[in-house]
Amino acid sequence: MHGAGRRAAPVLLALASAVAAACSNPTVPNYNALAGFPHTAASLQSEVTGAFDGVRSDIGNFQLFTDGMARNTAYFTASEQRFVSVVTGESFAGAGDLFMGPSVWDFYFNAIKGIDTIIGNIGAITVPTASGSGPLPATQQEALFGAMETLKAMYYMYIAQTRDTLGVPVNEVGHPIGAPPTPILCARDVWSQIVAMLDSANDSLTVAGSATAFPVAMPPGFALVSGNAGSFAGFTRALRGKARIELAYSSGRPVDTLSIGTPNAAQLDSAIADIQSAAPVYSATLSAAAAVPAADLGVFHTFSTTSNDVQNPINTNAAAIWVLQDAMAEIDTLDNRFVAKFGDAGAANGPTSVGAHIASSWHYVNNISGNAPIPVVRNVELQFLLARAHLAKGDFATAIALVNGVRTAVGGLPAAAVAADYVDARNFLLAEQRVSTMTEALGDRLDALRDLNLVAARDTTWSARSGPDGIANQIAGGTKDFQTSVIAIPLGESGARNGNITPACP
Amino acid sequence: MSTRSVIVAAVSLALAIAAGHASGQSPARRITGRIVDSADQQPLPAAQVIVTGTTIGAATSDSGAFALRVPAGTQSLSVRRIGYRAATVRLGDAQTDVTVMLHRDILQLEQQVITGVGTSISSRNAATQDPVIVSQTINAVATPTIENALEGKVPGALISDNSGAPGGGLQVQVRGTTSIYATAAGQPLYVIDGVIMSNAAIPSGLNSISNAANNTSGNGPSPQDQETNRIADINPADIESMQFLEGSAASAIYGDKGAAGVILITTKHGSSGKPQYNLTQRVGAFSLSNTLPVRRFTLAEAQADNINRGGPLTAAQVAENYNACNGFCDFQHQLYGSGAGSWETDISVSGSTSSTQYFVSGLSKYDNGAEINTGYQKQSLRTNVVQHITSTLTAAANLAYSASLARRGVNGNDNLGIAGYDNISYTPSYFNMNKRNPDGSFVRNPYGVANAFDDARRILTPETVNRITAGGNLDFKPITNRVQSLQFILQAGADFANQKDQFYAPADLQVERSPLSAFPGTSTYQSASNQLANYSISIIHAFTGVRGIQATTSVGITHDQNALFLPDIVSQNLVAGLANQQFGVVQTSYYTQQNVVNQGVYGQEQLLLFNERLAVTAGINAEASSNDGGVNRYYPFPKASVSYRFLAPARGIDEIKLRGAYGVSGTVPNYGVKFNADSLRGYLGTLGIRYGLVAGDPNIKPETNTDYETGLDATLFKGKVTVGATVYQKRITDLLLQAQALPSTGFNQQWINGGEITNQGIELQIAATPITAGRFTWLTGENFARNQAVVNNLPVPAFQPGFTAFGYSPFGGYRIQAGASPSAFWGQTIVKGVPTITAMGDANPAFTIGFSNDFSYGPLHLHTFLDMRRGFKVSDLTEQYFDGAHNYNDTAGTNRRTAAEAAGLTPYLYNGDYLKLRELTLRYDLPFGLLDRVGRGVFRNASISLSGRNLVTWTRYPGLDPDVSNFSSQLVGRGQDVTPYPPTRSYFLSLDLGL
Repeated sequence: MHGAGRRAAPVLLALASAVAAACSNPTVPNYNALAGFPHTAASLQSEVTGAFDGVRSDIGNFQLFTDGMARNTAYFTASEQRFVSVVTGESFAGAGDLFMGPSVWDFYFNAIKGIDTIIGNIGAITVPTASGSGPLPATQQEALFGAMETLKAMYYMYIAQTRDTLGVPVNEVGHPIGAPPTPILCARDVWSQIVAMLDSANDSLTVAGSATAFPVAMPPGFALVSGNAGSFAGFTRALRGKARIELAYSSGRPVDTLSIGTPNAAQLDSAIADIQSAAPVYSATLSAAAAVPAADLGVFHTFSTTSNDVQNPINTNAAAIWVLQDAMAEIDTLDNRFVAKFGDAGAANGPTSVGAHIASSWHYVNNISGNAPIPVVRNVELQFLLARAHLAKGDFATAIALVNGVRTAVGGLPAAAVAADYVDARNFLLAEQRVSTMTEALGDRLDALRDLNLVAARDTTWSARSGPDGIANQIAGGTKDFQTSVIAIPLGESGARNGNITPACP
Repeated sequence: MSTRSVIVAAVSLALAIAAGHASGQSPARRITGRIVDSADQQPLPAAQVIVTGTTIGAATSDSGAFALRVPAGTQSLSVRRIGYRAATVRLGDAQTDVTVMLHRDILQLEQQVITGVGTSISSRNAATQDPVIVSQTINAVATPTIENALEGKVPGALISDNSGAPGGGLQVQVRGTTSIYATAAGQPLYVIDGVIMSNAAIPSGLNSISNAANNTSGNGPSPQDQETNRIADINPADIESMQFLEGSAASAIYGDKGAAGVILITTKHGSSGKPQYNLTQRVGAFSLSNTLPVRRFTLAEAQADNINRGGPLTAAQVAENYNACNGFCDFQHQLYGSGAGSWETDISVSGSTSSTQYFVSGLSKYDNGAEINTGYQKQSLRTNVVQHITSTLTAAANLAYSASLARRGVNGNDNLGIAGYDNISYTPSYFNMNKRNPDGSFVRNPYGVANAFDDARRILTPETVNRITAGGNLDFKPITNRVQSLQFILQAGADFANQKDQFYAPADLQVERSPLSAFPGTSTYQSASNQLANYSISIIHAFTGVRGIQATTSVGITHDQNALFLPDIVSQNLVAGLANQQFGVVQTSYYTQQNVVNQGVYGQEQLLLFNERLAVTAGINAEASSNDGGVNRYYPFPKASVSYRFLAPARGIDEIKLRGAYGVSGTVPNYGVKFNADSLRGYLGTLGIRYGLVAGDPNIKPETNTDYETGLDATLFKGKVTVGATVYQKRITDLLLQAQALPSTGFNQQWINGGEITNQGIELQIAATPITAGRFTWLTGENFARNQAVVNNLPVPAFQPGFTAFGYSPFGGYRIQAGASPSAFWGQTIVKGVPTITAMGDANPAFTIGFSNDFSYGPLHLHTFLDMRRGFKVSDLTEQYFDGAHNYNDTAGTNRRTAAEAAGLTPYLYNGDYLKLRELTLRYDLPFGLLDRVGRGVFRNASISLSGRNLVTWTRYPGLDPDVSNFSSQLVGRGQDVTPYPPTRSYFLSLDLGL
């Protein structure tokens, strides 16, 4: 072997060794996401905070869509005219439409998944004890379960409010990806399941004992009910009362339709009882301060403009949210409830974008900011829910009295003289509910319009293409009412179900 | 491939080399000679002279001289030099001196095509279609960035502008759509002097001001930020040549980074002999090349229109404004008619000493933007040094630094009404918007939310980039003899870029105070760092011990790492007048970090047989990436190719080469897709867990691109005509996809591998010198490319890919569906009353043609280049903006389109066919005698030229320019025209001096 060749051979061997050394690839972590989370006391707080945070980013869509569909307000922006044209029913948005897309759906199920993770691990959570560490005390486990189950029911309620007759899959969360899906439940069974969740939550909070404190801190918007299990149970019952009214209507009507039917009286009675026992959220005494939602008794999503937090999602659009002329026709502009939110931009300064002809010159500029809370449930709202329950029972006088109570105490207006009959009481309730809670992401007026089968009547002032006579007939079968009363099941959900989204009532 | 097998192969190779080396000794004699230009007998330095069939060679000196020791007996010498056709001369048994004349390679018949790390092959033998673009082609006309100079010139590479904004922003797509979601496939891989360099496109954070992405949770960086690819940092004048590896048979050497093609850039290196200075000075301007037909009003119409718009002005005010503009306020020319000039200075020196070659260059330039208060300035410096340390050891190093400042204003999509053309779309032309109040402020625009002139002058959008790239190699060649050579090459490089965007929109702007802006005043600060490092170690053995056979064996390892750090601070609700982020009431921070490590091991065998008529290459590259699910799994990327040359097969045909190739390359998954996207978010001081909506796939793997290509190349009529034809099929499998998960499970998407896309195409090239008569020559070249893509199958339901979802009606949108093109535009029609979507065209052209013609008459040269694209669609959202505000002059058209939109149709999807005069240059070379008299021997050459780029566009597209992409570079999703920075044309007067 020549000299150079002899020198080259060891160099080759050295390089071959370098190849061998270089062949183990380093693992690069995921810098932008979490990699597992232990169920410790410290992590429990983050998990629970995450559960409360779940839908805050998307709650603005709930507001924009349900308030527009209820013909209260609309978001007029030149760059996205569908906030007017689709939400108010002037153009079509069926199941394949990407505009409303996964709004009030994906984030909510995702948040429910987080809650189920907490619930599934409550027994495994370890906390410091006198002897070192141990499981959460049984009473706190019950209290935590009750709070989380209430939160879960709350998220399902948002979904149910936007889908109603289209149904909701209630038992799908946590199923393996790719497994055969469980059926979409019809509205009646959805509300029944929600009521059952709230029953279970209320039971656990009761077992925990009213004085039992929670092992975690809750967001400031829950301050009224987060002191102990007893106060939280008031929130749970307030939600259950609302859910029971929906259950009463959905049980009393033929499945998958919007006829009134005969609301279930027992559920109505239970709803009334729930709401009246929902202190500290509920009080029969009303104050003028409640004209501003944040000053009312209630539970709220809270927001912040600090970094890595979520600011009020409506705030960024607020001044472009204009009260519709339909609503203005029955609103007194001196009403404290109206003044608390809306200001007059003047006739020449209204919106200039598509659909401007249906807007008034009043827009949402008062008591709104990046830090402004959005109600989950509040006392004024509960007054109207009580009134609806009494209306459904035929107790028109009580319903009118409840509504007049809000009108005078909160609105600062004289009591209205309303005939104690169904139509007058109903119309009075809807008008006063509108001015009291519009833009608050509660969805009650849309619920009521559906339950009271007023969707068609409401649509008469709109394009011939809208409403059940227009939009619904564009869809094969013509039996589903899309965005004029409900948001379609998202394309992602229907696609993954191969289009089989017919609700079942097992 | 296991590590063990690599070691065994290496040891075997070592033993073979040792044996070969022992038998390779023989008596030798000394040959000296000169290489000269056949036209003027001038000596040619830097020519490579090799004893044919061996690895023995030398380079010529500044005087064209060389000296070699050649084996005894009859031999021949092969001589090659860039720019000249190769020549082979026989040496007599006793001959010791030779002069070789080389003919200029006007049609670029002879080029060395890179086939691996340290290996290359003559283009005569290349088995793949790898177009090479040389410096003269790149620098024929002043160019904003390197990609501009390539538009239309490379068959198979679709190079398109995103907008007319200064500072670049183009997309290069090689042989069709390569992926749907794998972002690494969005651009080809760039390799400069053997070292991988980043072409990252980093969003600037403009979204914080434009609200283009319309995030309810805040506005951080977005793909709608008018991104610029960082290859814009390279100075085109530094480039010697660019080679496009289009098929996987060529790009397989880059494994899971090669599926979108590879562009190999060779920068200029030192010339032989004494220092040579080159100076280029250019002055010129960029100007608006097209405008939209904005509506004109009579005074009576203006009064009525003002009422229709809510009557924000009184009748007297309307008349006053109307008269101030003589009836038409020409916003387009006022806003985009910047009269600022541009200039560019390039200077370089290159030369060599006995052991050192050097090249040093500097660039300083400023490109004005058409829009007021926009522009692009850049300075760069490059040093390339080659040091011959010993006769067997050579070191090369290059170092480049560039600094740029781009100001692009606010254009493209927005959700406020702030972009220039968005503003013009809703502001009637009778309103004198470009007017100041007595206090110097601009008038309030009563017809919308913003005043474009105030925004253009007071919104600051500076983007500074500082970048250092360094590379080098050590080339150790311990064995060189008659039968073999052995070479070790260590290549390494690093690329550090910092992009700083510091944008500011004052709180008192009308748009910041509008109802749509909750927090008046926005100030952003983003400082992105992109760091890339890579190295390779290669062993190359060349064997020429058997007559007529050349075998080149190479093995090696590669390693590269790329990290991105992207912090962004957005401060809003600023105290008036203060831009400091600290003084914003609302402050939001965003942070993204990515890191990917790739490693590979490869082996390749390249054979030249039958006196270089038959070329056979085979190889395999195995690569692993930290982005893969299994980080230690090496995925194989094999390749094989063959070509055969038929010499003078028929009258008039000098040579025909048939070729065929097969290869596999890949694309690594995106960073992080193997993980669930869980995160944390604040909730009034407490961090809460947010479970991700997208499930990761722990088994994710690279996309695989399997290519077959075949073709022929022919030289005709004694080298006066060349033709080339290639057909290919490119099949991409294991696509990175987001499968629809059932959202009611808590996940709405899951990353998976699956599905298949096929691209099939044909590429034709012809070059000729039809006339060479006396002092007149005409050189012409044409290229044609056609690519058809189809999604063969999808394991998921049809879907609209992200960042492109403007819906189907009225604009048209993208949809990935089996049986259709992945880049198809889908629109909506109404069939029996039911909205129905259907494919209505494609964003990628059916075919492209490039026409190049160069005429010379003595010292006078005329260069033209035309770029034609046919059969593609563009979605014109801009037109819909104007229609919505009834602000187009064609009111009948507006009514027609508006009615179509209301009916659920797709009226804003247009044919984008165009023919562009991309380049036009008239150059005059000053006579040498004149130079000698004026410069007293100082000047080697001098020329003056007048050039223009994008001077004329012939198209029926009604928008500003069919060459447009709102979302910048996209795998799919180009061709969406959303109030872009308008297109420009440029003119430059240039002086080139050689000293």
